[in-house]
Amino acid sequence: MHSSHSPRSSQPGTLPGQLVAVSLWLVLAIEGAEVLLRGAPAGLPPLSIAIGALTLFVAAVVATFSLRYMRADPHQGRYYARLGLLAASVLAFVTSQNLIVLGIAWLASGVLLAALIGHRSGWAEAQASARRTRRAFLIGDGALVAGLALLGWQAGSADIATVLAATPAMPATVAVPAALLLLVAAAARCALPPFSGWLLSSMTAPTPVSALMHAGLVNAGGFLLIRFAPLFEAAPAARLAALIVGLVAAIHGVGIMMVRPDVKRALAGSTVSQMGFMIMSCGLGAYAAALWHIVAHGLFKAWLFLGSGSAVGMKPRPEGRETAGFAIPAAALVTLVLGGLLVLLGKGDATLVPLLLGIATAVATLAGSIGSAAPARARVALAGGVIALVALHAAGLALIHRAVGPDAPALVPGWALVGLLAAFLGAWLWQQQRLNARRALPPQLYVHLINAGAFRPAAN
Amino acid sequence: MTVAASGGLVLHRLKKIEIVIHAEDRSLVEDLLAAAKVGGWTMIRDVAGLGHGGFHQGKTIFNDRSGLVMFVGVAEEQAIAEVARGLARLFETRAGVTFLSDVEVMRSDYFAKVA
Amino acid sequence: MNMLSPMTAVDPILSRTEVAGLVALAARTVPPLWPLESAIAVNPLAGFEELPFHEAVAAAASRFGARQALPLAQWRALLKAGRVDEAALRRAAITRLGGLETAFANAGPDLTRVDLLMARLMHLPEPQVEAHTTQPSPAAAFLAKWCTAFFDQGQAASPMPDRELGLYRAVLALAPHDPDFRNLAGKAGRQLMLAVPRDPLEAIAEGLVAAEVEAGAEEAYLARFVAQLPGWAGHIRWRTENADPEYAAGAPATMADLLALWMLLDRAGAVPPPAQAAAAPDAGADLAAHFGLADVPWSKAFREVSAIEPAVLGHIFMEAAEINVRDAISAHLQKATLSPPQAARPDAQVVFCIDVRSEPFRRALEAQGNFATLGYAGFFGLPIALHRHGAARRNRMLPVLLAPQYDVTEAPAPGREAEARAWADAQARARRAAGLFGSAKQGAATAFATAEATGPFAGLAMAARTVAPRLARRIAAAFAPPRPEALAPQLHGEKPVFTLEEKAGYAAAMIRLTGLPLPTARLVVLAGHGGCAVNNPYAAALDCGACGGHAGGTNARILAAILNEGQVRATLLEQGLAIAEDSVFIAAEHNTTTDEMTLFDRASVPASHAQDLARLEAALAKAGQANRERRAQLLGRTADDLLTGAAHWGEVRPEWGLSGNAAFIVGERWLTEDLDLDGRAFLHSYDWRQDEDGSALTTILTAPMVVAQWINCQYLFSTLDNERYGSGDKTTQNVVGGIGVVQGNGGDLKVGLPRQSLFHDDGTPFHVPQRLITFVHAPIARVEAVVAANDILGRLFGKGWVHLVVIDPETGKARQWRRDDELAAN
Repeated sequence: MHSSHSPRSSQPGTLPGQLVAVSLWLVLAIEGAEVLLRGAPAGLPPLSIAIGALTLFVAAVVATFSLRYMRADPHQGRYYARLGLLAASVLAFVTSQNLIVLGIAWLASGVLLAALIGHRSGWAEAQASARRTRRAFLIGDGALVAGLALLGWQAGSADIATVLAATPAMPATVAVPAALLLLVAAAARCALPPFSGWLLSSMTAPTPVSALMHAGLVNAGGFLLIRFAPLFEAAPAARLAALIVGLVAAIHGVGIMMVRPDVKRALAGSTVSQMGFMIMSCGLGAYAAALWHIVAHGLFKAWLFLGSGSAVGMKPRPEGRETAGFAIPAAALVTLVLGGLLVLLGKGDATLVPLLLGIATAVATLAGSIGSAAPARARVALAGGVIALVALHAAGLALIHRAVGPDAPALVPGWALVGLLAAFLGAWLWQQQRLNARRALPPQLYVHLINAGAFRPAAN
Repeated sequence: MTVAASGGLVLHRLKKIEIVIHAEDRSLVEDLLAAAKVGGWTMIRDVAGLGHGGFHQGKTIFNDRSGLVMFVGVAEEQAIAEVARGLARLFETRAGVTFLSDVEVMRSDYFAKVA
Repeated sequence: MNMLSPMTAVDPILSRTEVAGLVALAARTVPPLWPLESAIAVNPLAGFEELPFHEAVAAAASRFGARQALPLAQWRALLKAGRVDEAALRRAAITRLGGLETAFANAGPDLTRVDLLMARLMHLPEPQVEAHTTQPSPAAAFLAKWCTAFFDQGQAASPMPDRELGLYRAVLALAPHDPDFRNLAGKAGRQLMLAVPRDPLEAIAEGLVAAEVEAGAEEAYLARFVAQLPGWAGHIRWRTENADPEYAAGAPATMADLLALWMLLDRAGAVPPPAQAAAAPDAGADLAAHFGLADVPWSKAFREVSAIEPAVLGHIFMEAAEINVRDAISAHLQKATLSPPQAARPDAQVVFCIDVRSEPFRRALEAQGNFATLGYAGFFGLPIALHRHGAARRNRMLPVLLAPQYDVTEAPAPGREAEARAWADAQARARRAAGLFGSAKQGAATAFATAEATGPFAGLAMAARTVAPRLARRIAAAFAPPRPEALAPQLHGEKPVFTLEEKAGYAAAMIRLTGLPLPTARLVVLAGHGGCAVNNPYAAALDCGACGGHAGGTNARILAAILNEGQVRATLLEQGLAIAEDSVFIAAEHNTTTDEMTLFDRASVPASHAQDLARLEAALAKAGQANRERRAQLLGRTADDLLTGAAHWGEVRPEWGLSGNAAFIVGERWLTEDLDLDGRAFLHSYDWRQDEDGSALTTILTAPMVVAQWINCQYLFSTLDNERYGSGDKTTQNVVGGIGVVQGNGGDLKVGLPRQSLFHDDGTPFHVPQRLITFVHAPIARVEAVVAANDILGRLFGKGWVHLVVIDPETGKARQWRRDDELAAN
């Protein structure tokens, strides 16, 4: 009776993994300390620092997580090399001050991500998912290259600051096409319709890759819109397009998330929705809100993906209603009235929609925590928790606001913002009323949502 | 269904089916009875006497799927015939025996078909 | 009228009952698949158990598109690592060739048959025959998609419409809207959709006629469809045959539903015909080249070896691995049986589960002092379902061979209500917070702010769980504390769960089945077990299978409480079973991931036994440390890292589980005490002298051994073909419906165990795929009688699913069960 003994190591993971993980933590620590002590390097906007730090942090967590999680993977060298290069390429394009560097690093990140989606080389579905991703990125990246070339040619420089300084003077015939091209590039990375398919069928990627993808890669679209904000401000049509695409994605993604019976693709539906909301905020010109969303959502989604193994456990139906029946209509009404008032008072700026949706969330959740059947002490604790989260949220937003600076001039009039708000609240009311009554969605809609991003190898 | 009167009681004539089968094939018979819409039946475990010599012995048998079980079902003739037809095919490959008999019951609504 | 209507005039269309019978038989192609929250090991080839083992493997391979043996390269790696030895391989090869005479007959210039076969086993390149397509057909993908949606248990906020109509009709209702259906089934499908009967049994009957399936071929025809989605089909079997009815409430489904859908697609021409497996090429040329022969010899003997199917080579390796284990154990038992030890009263008796993970811990504990250990089924014989405090559904705490006969509720132990209430409050708070979070993150207006507000917290949590998992777990425990001991199973509520007779019966069952030496020691510990894993869909697979895939501490607590009752002891005494007056029973739970032992209800131990308890606890801690160290070697990690892994959310292999299982030994502990079984053996205590009528042996072989065989076959086949019979790589799994996992974007529900549970990091198997070898220490005639009286044993031993070796206590001779249903000399 003899069992085999493996060579023992005190640290989990292979050497390439340990190298990549340690390097990522080191870079994060060194760069973080430098920015904190000496301030940002000249010309590097807070946007770049925030997204760079987010990417480094999530990549470091993911690499460390992988030391155990990927321990039995036969291609770890390749895996960690791509992971490290992916983080580096994202870092390169977010901190780049040069159009050409930005373009090359952006392209590289797409190639690396697609390769990681197809990491399991012997699996046909993984290879098909990778191809699908490459195809989506080919369109988006083509648009990016064209857009950047147009800008560089028009401004006569590859320096981003120079280009941005030149944008207000650009004729609409240049600014609008350039901005629309960048929007296409952003939509492909953010997996907004009609580009959602690649993300919704990317579950062939190992779990940590999904975590990094949803936290570090899909944000690239938002980065692009904020980085080139002056261009978009010179091309209101492109902003309007961003608003519309974002709105559609935000609502559609929620629908996808609601019907998914598998945990990972439900998270992917949620990402489509969240990215839509973020791009919509960019279109509205609420840059600080959008950036805060990028950072917080990135952490949120990476956490959920890494923890997706915990979803085993059958929940009995019917499940108790989590929010008291009156809470949602009340929260919606309060929010809408508040929105109307703010607009009447002339305070209806770009942040209005994200801000008021935050209020609606806080009100509904507070009502849910207080108006529950739980013991009084539990209710107080819950309400306290909710308030703490709201405060954290507000503080984060304020901090980003101070760093990023003013929002863009209003794109649409105040009443349109209230209309937008009403669209979200209306969808919410309808959704909650359906869920509370345990009524299924109409068959056509249900089938459409469950098939969203469906992987059809034959059709690809 | 025939209704007979006997000593003031109203009796309803029905069919009874008894099936003895290996306990591990239990679900086969249950599926047949359900397919024939027999509304209810009785199952007796360990009909071979295995394990029923006394309390302790019965409890130390840790496997419900060994031994034989007997099903007793009462229903209208047509439903029982349906069951028998299904069983006839089943017993081409599985071991088991079936008995059919006429019975009279007092409350016919107890043996109604399930919808 | 006394006659049934004549049945000679056979209707071309089968009746509903006939179809129901066929469907039920076809359903047996796959075993029931338990949800992962209470994972149960089953033999994926259970439907083929009526065939001899090797035939079953071949039949299942063609039905499921699976491999028949572990690839030769893997076997050679095991040989190189010393897990199988060459001498045993040669013996297995000789046996396979028909004995010494044929094996050593000349088969070429200076070559014997066995030379040729050994060359094929050890050196020749592996013939590539198996076209292993992992890609499901579009029809299977379509049905898998709708099964996933239909069977969801609370993952999707918005469930599939019309589920109350049943699977078949719910899919019929949605398919017209589904472009996948249009692409698959085309116009024919659209028309059929309108015309097919709405009753699945009638639809199948009609389909069998339409497909012109010949009489007698229907079952095989249907079985082919069942085998195309073994996961979802297995889930249906679990739901209809093993689950409490509430799981199917509002969404009924039977195998007939699934088959009616398959038949609809088949009638529409959407199901590709089954692929024919290609025949393996003859190895003659390779053999000739290997031995430097100019031409391929045409001798019959040469041809016989060169034509051997590649799968057979794998089987020979498997037989060699079995010979290794059988010889090692058999030799030891034969020797040991001739020198029984002098019985002395131990300081404590500790009864463990028969689980293979108990064996090394028992040995480590015995080394710490005068402690005796025993093995018994980990549910301690109690057929109970447990209603956990605060849980919505009951847990079946018993082997799946049994139906629960008692419902036990959990309630605060007397005097510890405050503790229990604090826990319940924390629990309610955590559940409520999770509920609020869940609904806020799905709301069309609230999803965005929820992500933003929880993001920073998520970042902290993520870093902590990754970098400092043990600290993170301690912090998390402050918010959601683990279930306290203050919640105890309640036996004496308004209505006592058991009568006195029943309690004495369960107590006596343990004593009789294990041959527990009486009078008992001052301390008798009943130790259940459970695993410990975080963020791991397969966590329950590390728990006690005898307790229905749950940790077994509760069952131990109940039986310990029963055995501490004076009335129970008095009743036992009347039956001649004397529990020593100074004996105290204590329940415990062995954490198989960390090797920590939790003792329950210590407060009820009288002061007189405090010192005994302290000594035992010290011994348990030392034994745990020693065993952790031993297991760390096997895992290639440090002992401390096992504790970290048990708390780490990224750990895919917190322990080896039952990997390595190879033997089932029925007998007293002194027989195996000096033998290091390396965690590869189930040990069931048994004293043949206390079992004149063989009833205890019958129970052991027909229940615990059957469960062990299921486990053995699950590990065997999950290793042999991890894609088909196992669940593949953990890192790309995706949890569906709270039930189980799929790979990647969707498809069939995965069965079996993941790769990481069976294979080393470098890809070589840790688990050697081999059949269970059962050793029984009892008179030969008794064993023969027991096997003869139980069909299931005749099948398992006679058809080669389990090897049986009987060690005669009087002579020390070993006899092996042969195919021809008798015990032959070994």
